[in-house]
Amino acid sequence: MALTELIYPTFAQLDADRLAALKELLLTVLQTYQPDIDLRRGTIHDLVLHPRALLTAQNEQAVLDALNSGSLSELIADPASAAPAAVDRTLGNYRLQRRAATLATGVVAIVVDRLTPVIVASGSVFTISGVEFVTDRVYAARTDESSVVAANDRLLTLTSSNDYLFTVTVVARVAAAAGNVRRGATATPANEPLGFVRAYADTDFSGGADAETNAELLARQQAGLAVRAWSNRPAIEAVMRDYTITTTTDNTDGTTTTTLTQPFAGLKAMSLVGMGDAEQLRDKHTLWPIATGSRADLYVRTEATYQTLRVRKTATLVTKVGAVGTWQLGLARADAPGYYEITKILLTTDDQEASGFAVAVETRSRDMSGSGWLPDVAADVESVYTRYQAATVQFADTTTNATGLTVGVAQQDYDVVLRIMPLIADLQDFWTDVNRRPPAGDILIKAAVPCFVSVAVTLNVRRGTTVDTAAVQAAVAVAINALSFTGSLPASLLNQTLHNLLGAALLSTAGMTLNGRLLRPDGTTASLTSATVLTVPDEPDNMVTGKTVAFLTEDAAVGITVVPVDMPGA
Amino acid sequence: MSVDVAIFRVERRQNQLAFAPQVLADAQDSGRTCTGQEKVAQRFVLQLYTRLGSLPQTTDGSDFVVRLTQGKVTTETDVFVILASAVSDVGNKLKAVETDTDPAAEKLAGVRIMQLTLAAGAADLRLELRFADGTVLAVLIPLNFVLA
Repeated sequence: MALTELIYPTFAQLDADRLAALKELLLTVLQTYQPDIDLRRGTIHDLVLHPRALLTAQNEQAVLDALNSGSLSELIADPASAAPAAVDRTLGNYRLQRRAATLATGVVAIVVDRLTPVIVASGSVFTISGVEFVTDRVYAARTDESSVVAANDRLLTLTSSNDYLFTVTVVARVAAAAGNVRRGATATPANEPLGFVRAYADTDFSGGADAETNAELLARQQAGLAVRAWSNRPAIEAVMRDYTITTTTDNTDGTTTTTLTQPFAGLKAMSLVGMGDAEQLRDKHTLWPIATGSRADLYVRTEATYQTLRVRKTATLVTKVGAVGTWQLGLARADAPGYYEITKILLTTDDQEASGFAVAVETRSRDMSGSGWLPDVAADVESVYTRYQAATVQFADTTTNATGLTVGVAQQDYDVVLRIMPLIADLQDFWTDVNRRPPAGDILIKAAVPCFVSVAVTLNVRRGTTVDTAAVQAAVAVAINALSFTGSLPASLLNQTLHNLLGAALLSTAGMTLNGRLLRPDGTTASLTSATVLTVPDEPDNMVTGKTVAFLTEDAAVGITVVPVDMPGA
Repeated sequence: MSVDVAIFRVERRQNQLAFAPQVLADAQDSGRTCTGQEKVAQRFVLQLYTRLGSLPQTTDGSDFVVRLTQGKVTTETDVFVILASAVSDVGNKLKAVETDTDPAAEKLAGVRIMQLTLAAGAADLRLELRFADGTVLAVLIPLNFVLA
């Protein structure tokens, strides 16, 4: 390494005590060399001694940083203090590269009030939750299906409010996790098309990621060092993270293109419940109340928070009272693997923001059909939040006139809107693969048991301060969603986040209330409320403990009240 | 008696020092040292003219130049006000590094602003440094700047 490659701290970053010690040393040397020089203040002090001490301290710190950043143990002990470039250099020895930030993408629904063709230019800007997105190509909204011929043609479809809707795909301008906006978030176009009514995110946006932090990179390095096999927790994580799919496509010019993808590299957190763990119920399927082992439940958080999925299903009329019919539909295990909950059921013409119909009866079951090896899931409750979960759902449709419909015969399509943790089925298939499944083991992938969190807090800020509420909501949501399987969510974490974000402008926080809605696998709900810390109840018999539950939230669940405060003497 | 490297060209008359522009190296004055009251006066001027915060990791300097260049100086009174504040601050800083072994002739007893004259784009500043041995030294400092 050349000296020019050292990463020099700024003078302001130097340790004041170390600088003072070096200055004292230089002063002693100079005084010994020339006792008559006055070194307290003046030319020699200001123009020679102090700058020399600064440069010496800067060099010393750069060398120390270089030495420390070459030491894995030092980096792991304090990842935040190391310079990213130094960490990159050191971990480059393990052929690890920091993952760059990536662009989020998703679909925007645009609602217009007339059935006329609309052209949306490539690069058209939409702002969603404070993040700018641009269309990835030119889109043409057509008035009839026969005109939809090209990949960028979209059909204008009639909505229940007698407007017309079409969709475009957009990509974030800046690569960051903040681009993963939620389905239903309002999209504001820079240039409104003719007859514009509104626009919103039609899907949960995905793909956006911040650049890997030092801590994340070091964690990946540790996982990478582990043997890639079903043995201990780091090794199991390494197997999933490093799983690479190689896809080769033939190009028209005779060449081939090879693409490598790592579908599980973005795994946020996992918790392994195995033999001896109180939450492990599947290894007690015996006559005797003992754990026999050979069962492992892998609770995963594949994304920072849940995603919203809209699935079209056909329902059958099962009863009716007057014009209101009760309809029933079935959710197969492949429809929304491991889903958390159904938030609403929409008519197919409803847009995302329609209130829809609530679920009246939901019965979850297990679907263990299929050939080949299957995990031991002996009870329906054990299949909840796994890819083997299925459900039967009933709801009352208060919009469709059921008077003339025949019970048991009439059928109609509905869109079921669900909250899910993605990749549950993919991970189950991955571990079920005969080439990967441990011969003496039985692995069941489960989405982390959800505790949906909402937060309310009052921010007392200096009068005159402008608070970006959306940014505050996002920061709080990120802090909550970044937690692993911690068992508790302390208010102090959120206070720290708020003070870090707003700095001196935030004088204090008040009235922080944390609310959690924990969906137990047995279908019951636990309501948690605290001003100081949300603690997961210890109910291992319900598979609910800190090892199985994840706190999940979204920006909109963070309520902020800003109160300007006059500073005495300001 | 300790010495320092002289950073200014100085004209000395009886009990009066007139500081000329800064010079560290030229054919005439380079390598000159100063001692006694000239050394203390030089410290004072250096501190007065050093922007507070411009030397990393120290509180050396004063806010005199900082405030002069903030564009809020429009009258002689404005200059006087910020000068008075800075002179007091610098005086305290110099006293803070004095030791018991320093000769009384190098111990600052007080500073007074005797005269402040503004002309177009320039100011003449006359300070009076009083020392612990009872002696008084007048210090003349030219200052070039643009009045708003």
